[in-house]
Amino acid sequence: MSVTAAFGINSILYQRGLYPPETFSRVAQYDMSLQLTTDTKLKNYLTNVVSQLKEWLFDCTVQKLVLVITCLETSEVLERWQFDIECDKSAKEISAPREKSIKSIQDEIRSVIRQITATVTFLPLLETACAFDLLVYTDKDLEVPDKWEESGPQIIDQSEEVRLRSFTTSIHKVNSTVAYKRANSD
Amino acid sequence: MDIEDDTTVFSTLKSFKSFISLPDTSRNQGEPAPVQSHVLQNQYLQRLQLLEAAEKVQSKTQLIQLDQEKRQMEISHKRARIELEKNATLSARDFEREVDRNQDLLGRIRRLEEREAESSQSLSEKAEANRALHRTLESLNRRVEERDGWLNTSNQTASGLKDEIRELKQQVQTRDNTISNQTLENQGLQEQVELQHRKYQEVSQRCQALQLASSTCSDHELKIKELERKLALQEQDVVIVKNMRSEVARIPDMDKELRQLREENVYLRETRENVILLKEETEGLRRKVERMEKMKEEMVNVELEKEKLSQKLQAWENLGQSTGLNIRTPEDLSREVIQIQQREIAVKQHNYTLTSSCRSVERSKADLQGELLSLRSKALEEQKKRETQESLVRRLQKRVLLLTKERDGMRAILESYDSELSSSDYTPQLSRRLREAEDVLTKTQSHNTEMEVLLTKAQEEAGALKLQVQTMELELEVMKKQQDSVAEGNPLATNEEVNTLRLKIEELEGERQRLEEQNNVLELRLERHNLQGDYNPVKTKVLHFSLNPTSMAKQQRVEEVEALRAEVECLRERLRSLQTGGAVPLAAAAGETSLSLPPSQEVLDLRKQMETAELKNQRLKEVFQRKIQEFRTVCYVLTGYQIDITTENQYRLTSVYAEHMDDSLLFKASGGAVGSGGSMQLMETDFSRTLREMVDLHLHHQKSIPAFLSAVTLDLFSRQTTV
Repeated sequence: MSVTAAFGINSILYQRGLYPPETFSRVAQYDMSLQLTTDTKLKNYLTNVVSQLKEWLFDCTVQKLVLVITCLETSEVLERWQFDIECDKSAKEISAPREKSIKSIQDEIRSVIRQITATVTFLPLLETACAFDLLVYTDKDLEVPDKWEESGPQIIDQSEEVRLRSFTTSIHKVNSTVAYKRANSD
Repeated sequence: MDIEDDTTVFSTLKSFKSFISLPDTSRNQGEPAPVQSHVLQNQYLQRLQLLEAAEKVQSKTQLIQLDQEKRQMEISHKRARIELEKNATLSARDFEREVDRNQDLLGRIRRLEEREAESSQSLSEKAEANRALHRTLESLNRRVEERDGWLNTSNQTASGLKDEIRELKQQVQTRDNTISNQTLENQGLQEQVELQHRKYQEVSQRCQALQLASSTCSDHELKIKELERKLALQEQDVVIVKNMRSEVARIPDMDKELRQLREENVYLRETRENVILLKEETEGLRRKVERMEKMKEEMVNVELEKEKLSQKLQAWENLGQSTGLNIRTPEDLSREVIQIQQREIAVKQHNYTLTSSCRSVERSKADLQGELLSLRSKALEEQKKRETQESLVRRLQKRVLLLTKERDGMRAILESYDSELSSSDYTPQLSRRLREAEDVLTKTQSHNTEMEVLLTKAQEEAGALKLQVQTMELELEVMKKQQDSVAEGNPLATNEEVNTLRLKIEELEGERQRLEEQNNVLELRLERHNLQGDYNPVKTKVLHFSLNPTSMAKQQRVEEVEALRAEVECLRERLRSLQTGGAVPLAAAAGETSLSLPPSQEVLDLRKQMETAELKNQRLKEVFQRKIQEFRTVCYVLTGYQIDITTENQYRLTSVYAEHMDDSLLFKASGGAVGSGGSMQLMETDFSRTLREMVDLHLHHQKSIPAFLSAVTLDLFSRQTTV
């Protein structure tokens, strides 16, 4: 699940052009070729976040995972990729055998990633220099680990939301939406 | 042309021959003879004409030839003339030259004569020496007589001396030759000097002309600039004049406006006071109006009250008429009221008693009804009991019947068995069968009893339920009756309560719908906010990694911006220093600032250009100096004078052959520059005082400075080179 998240984040970074395409290398996964970054700083950051996310997913304390794209000049939030995670806690405790086949899960993940690629067509262009940030919505009483800090939700001012496909594993159900700043044309 | 004429002649002859030959052949033919003779005649005529034409042409050609020859003769004449003239000029020149030569030769002759004189003098001297020598010779001869041996030596010495004399003569001759050659060379050189002088004069004249022209040009340029400045000033003046005119034109309008404004001012001041007064009056009036309006309203209200009161009064007055109680005064009213009140009290008492009786009646009624109910219930119970007992009875009867039938059957079986029985021993089997049958019986009976018990229970329950239903119906009827009775007692109150209750219900339902809509709207909003990323701060919190790319990128941006600002400030300081200082601060700033920018391409190019220009300048200076030096040395060498410029328009000339270093001639150019027609004047110096004769001769009489200078050189030269 967290691996999926890593691939999804990488494909979003590649598609939105946040990092130059030559820093990405192709990797085969889920019967399709995906882009993975080779930038070491970015890789470190992603591995840190993903490892922490894995723990939280296992404890079912994560509610949402959000990728926020901000414009550096104006410090405005331009795009928001939100993945709502509904965790079936009972399933985790019982550790029931996977009722869903791995293939169907992979199909769903593949379709999600394809949908991410397709959304690029209607998202407005990111013309200014942008940077991204990963936010995790967790339970209030969760202990904040080292190197993590609280932040705001980074909500977009006037946003259009588009719901994307959802996919379910045996334990989690993930809904994805993308919100982007409405381009005012007047 | 002759060849062509010959060819035509030959061709005509050929044709003539052919023509002649033709009639020989034509005689044979005969018939075409006359035609042919015509033709031949024509041909002959044509040939004659051709011959004539040829002759003409020939003559023409001869004419043309003659003309050409004539022209050539003329040309040759001219040439000859020209050559003759040239020869004449040449001969004239030769003549002149020969004349010069003659003069030269005459001069030479004179000189030679002088030299001859000198040489004769020298010869005489030498003759004297010879004589002396002779004397010595004689003495020697005298001595020789004494000494013969010395004759030879003396002869030898004499011969040697003669040889020496010859050699001396030869030397004299060679020297004379060399002198002549040198004089020739000198003459040539003098001629060259003269030529050079002429050239120098021409050059100097040209220089003067050029200087004049340049000075005139500069003067003109200055004039032009001044004129341009004047023009510009005049244009500015024109513009200013125009503006002034326009402004001046506006002045009468301004005056009129001023007058109007003053009048308006006065008027406005007057009106202002009036306005203030009017405003106060309006305020007072407004207040009055407000008060009046309030009064009006009060009046209206008062009138309404008055009308109401009058109506009331009338009603009150009419009351008496309407009730017919003979009421005219309030006392009557009060009396009537008291009476009515008393009546009312009585009626109320009556009412109370009635109600109490009514209630007691009702209570009794209720008690009776309860008794009724109990009685009815009892009756029903008894009915049921009866029914049950009847059913029991029927069952019992049925049982009895069944039993009797069984008994009969059993008896019959027994009788049959007894009848059939012979000696067999079937009693155990029979008894067994009996027992089995009895068991079956008992079981069936017990089952039967159980079923009957269940039935009875069900029936009892049904009966109980019926009872309950009936009691409930009775109670409902009682309640309805009570309600009706109560409603008859206070109909108005219940209606009001019902209406209020209904209103409350409607209000509540409206509120509920509104709240449902609000709820829906809020749920939609919540969903939307959830989609947008909102969260419940009580339950969730948002975390992110501290070292995230956005913060790092922002930091980088901030650093970039600060660096750019620092650069911009440095550049601005540099610009300011450049604008104020120039080249010097540039070097200083370049040395100071650590963020020195690489010099731009333009600056480098300009520096290179500057360097090349400076190099050029230096080279030009060197070249000029060299050339000037050359020229000066050449002038010195050729003219024999070193010309120095001491001060403005003062020239000092020092001769090559000057005896002392301080001997110099001072010339001053008066009347502006030398080339513009000003004359050179000789100033008094020590040296010039010694040359007074030459000054008088050449400058005062002949008025020629070059002659003077050349005379001075010759004089000095002669002084230098005399033996």
